[in-house]
Amino acid sequence: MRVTDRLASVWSLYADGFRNMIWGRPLWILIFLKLFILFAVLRVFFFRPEMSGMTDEQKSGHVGTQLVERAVQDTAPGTAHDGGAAADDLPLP
Amino acid sequence: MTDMALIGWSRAQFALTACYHWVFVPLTLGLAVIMAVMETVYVARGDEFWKRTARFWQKIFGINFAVGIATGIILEFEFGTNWSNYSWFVGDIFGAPLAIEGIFAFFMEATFVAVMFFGWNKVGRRFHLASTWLTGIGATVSAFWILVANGWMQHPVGMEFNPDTVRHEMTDFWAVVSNPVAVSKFFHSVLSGWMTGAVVVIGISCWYLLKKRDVRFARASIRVASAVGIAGTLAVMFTGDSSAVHVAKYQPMKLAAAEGLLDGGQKAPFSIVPGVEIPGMLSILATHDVNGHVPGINDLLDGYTAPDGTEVLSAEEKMARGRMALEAFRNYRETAESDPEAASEWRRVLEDNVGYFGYGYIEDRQELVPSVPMVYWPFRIMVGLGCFLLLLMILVLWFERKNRIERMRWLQWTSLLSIPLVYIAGQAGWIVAEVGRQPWAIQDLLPVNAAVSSLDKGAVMTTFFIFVAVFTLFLLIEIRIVTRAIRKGPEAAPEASDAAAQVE
Repeated sequence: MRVTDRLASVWSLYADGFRNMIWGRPLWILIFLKLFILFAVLRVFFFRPEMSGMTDEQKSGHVGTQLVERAVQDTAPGTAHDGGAAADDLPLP
Repeated sequence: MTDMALIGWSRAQFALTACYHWVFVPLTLGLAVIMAVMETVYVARGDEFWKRTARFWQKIFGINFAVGIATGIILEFEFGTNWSNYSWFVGDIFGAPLAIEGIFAFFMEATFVAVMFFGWNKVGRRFHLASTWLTGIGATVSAFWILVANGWMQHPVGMEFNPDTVRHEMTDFWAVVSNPVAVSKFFHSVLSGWMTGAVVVIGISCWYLLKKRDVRFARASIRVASAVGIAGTLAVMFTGDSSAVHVAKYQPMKLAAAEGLLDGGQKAPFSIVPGVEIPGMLSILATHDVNGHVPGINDLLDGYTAPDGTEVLSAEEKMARGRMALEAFRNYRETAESDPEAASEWRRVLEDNVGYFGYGYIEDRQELVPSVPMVYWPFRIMVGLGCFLLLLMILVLWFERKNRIERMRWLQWTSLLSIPLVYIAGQAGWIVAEVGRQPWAIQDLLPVNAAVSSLDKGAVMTTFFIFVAVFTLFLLIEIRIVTRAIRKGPEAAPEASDAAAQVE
């Protein structure tokens, strides 16, 4: 079988499949509706990556600064906890 | 100081999305095997009945697949928006498996799902059968890559931290892929999907028996599903055992929390429910040795010496090293260009303590203990329901083989009503895995308070409630479509349709 015939048969598999769908049609509508909500609404209006538009160098700088700024500033680690955290206070079952 | 409400809402949103995604995935994995077995029987025997049976379950698979498709993409949106520090920090270690999964899932599923649904009268029987199996294999392989990424978060291996790029770089791909936590998690999760598929098929089949219609179809479906389900559940138990050993080794706090074990030791007891314990059982589960040492929450916070002489650091010591790592990281960044010699020294300090990097964000050692009731009870729910469902499937198969299943209405009702239970068990398992590893986004390296993006919590709350609304809507749509498909039932046999036509 020639390549073009193979491609034609693959095309007809999909085309006939979609054309003859009965119960599958509402599912495809559902899939497209969902993809629309995901990519055209949520992605565009609500889920803009915080660092979009930054170069890799800027991203490294941004995250590096965030990681340093959020570190616990106590210079004598452990001293605030020397009383020993009471695991006994945990809400055990 | 990161806003705790922001962390809470970001975690809640991620949990909601992941739990919703996990409603669809296990049924896809389980039904794929069940319908492929049915189609194999059809190809082997040439009996059209099995073709109709396989086609009906394919229809249920298709509905579940269509509603569930792309729900995982939302998780990737959330990585970039809500967890941008985490996303950058993990580097390509997390991105590579997800990219492979995306490409693999797309090509395999787009190709073979289409052949499976559209190709019944277009391609040969064997080619169609191969496509059905490959659809299931494709979904399973996709799950593998996702769980490699998840396993790395639980037990990070095969990488080193580059303070210049502030990213982890993969140094050993094989170590990442063969991570023992990922491997046992993969088998445990995928096989629990077989269990889900089996319980759903048995439950729906029992509905037909209750309605006294499509009896041959229902009984044949019960035979295949219960065999797949029993095999899957036994394997889930086996992989759960290896999972417990890995958790004991790599995430001992999770195990201690799951058991509510304050003070550990040798011959550690397993708690069935509070106050009811099996002596030594936890040691057996965690170490495969009744004398094995299992540390409790207090041991892990205070530090202890293991029986083999290994010194396990206290929480305070780990926090001190974490602060040292972060201090070295800060100084390295400040001196990298102006004073290379000092930078080199700071880098060495960082490398010596990088394994405790995340402890530098811990203010109080109690933060290192996950919510005990949130881990303890889901673990018992998961195990308890797993045992109940195994027993149910054994009973169903037994009575089916004895030709008594049609008369046992109590068993039919129990099977039908057990459908939600298998989902509860699966969700409980994920709660144990994910709540149990708190406060870590990446075990020991990055807690959630450092991983979360600096966002307005109101924005995260808004999207949380949008998801609640959208997910509920889509779930209701799926239930409605599935219910209609079930009511309609499998295709009628040609002779039955002829008879029906004559009556009309």
